[in-house]
Amino acid sequence: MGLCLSACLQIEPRGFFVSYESVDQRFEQSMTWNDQHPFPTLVSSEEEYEFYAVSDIHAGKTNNLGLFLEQALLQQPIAVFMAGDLTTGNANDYHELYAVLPPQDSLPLFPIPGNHDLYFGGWKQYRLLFGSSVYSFSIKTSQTSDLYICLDNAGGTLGALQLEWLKELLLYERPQHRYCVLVNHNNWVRLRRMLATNPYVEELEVLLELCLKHRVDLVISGHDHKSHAAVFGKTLFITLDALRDSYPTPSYLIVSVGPDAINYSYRNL
Amino acid sequence: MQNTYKALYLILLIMACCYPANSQVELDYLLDLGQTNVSQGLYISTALVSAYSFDKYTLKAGAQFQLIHPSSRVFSAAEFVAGRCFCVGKQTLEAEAFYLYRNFSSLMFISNWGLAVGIWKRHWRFDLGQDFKAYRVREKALSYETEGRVIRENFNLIYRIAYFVNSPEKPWNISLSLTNRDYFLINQETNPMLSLRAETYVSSTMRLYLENWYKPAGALNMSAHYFGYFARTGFIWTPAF
Repeated sequence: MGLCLSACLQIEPRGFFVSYESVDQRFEQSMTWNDQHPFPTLVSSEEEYEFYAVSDIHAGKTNNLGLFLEQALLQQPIAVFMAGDLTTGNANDYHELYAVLPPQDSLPLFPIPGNHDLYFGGWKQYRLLFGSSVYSFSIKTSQTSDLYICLDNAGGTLGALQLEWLKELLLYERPQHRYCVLVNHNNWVRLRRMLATNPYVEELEVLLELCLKHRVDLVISGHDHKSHAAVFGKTLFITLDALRDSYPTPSYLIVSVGPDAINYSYRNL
Repeated sequence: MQNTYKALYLILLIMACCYPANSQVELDYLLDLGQTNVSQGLYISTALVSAYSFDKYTLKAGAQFQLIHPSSRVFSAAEFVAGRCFCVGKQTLEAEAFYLYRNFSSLMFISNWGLAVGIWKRHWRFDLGQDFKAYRVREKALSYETEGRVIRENFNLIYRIAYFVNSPEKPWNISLSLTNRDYFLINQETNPMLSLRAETYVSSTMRLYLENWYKPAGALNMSAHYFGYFARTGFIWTPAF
């Protein structure tokens, strides 16, 4: 009984049939928000810089997140990506999460939603707190700049509008940058059997071809709750461990971006 | 190359000789019209699948062609199947081994192979199998400084559960299926598709059918979103020689 109640509080059977809003609606709302709140270009004073990425926090409970934020505030990476499933979708969990996040000027946070963030009408809460689920920005050094694209595939698909936006960005913006990094929640390839959903094969075909043609260097995902990595074409696909409190080996990703290469490692909490 | 032609000729000759005894040819032509999140509007594809059955064995080969599609690749997929029926008690198990090639890009392709078994239970049809998928980069993509040439997704579950209004021997039928496999496409096990099919005999050798397919994304994430829909029409011709 307890288990059933716990499960019901975290997942929503309605979502098996229909979501509260379409991914195209979320995309349009995000673009409107982006127009009103353009993302600033981040500037690195050195040629080599670091960013961090975490995923699957599943707040309410935020002990692991708190530990991670302590370390991040100390190390001051140029950016922290939060690759979805920040909460369980409940309004209270959003409030718990927001309460522990530091101010944006002390640690630049770049969240995107995961499937759990959409449960129980969670998009409204997400939008209220973070504004946008799809955006891009660049990080500049004195010599060059790198393109970062954050995508919303929390519903298992990018949707038609977001895909067209991504294609245009890769076609016109990508050539002006040195590296290109994509961040989204649902991992694309299934390197191990898992119950969670990935993008359709037809969508994956388009995405993989885009990555090859436009020389995407890195794709960061969460969702699987277990870290793994693979290279396909020129692109490194990294899936993150979960940071949720109940996960036995929580870790976060440290990516070091330098003139010659992108290197990565996981740091256990 | 000459040896290949000789072998093909020999196979055809043997098949022709065997034909009158207890064999059957079946041609399945189909036309799909649909829309997905990646199709940039309407797409139209067509396919031809031919099957040759003798005794308990079946050989199938098919090819799919895109007539309207953003990928601009006319030949888009091919499938080869070898099957055999087994009797287990009063039940007939239809087992098959298959290879599927998806020619989705000039830079990469998918190769799938696997095994599946199917069984009829009055108004129900159940299929279960495993497939092994590999996304591969072609030789000509080497100019893109590729480092990883292949990525494998092993042990993907294939399933189909279908309910038929009539039993299979009736001249018409309507069925509802939940599956992750279609002609020329095997989705990950977590991406089921829903299909409604109606079929009827228009003559003793010809069946017409109409299918509607709905593809939800993210259903097993409890966050189901629309991915695509398509309608299919086709006929199955079983010539009597």
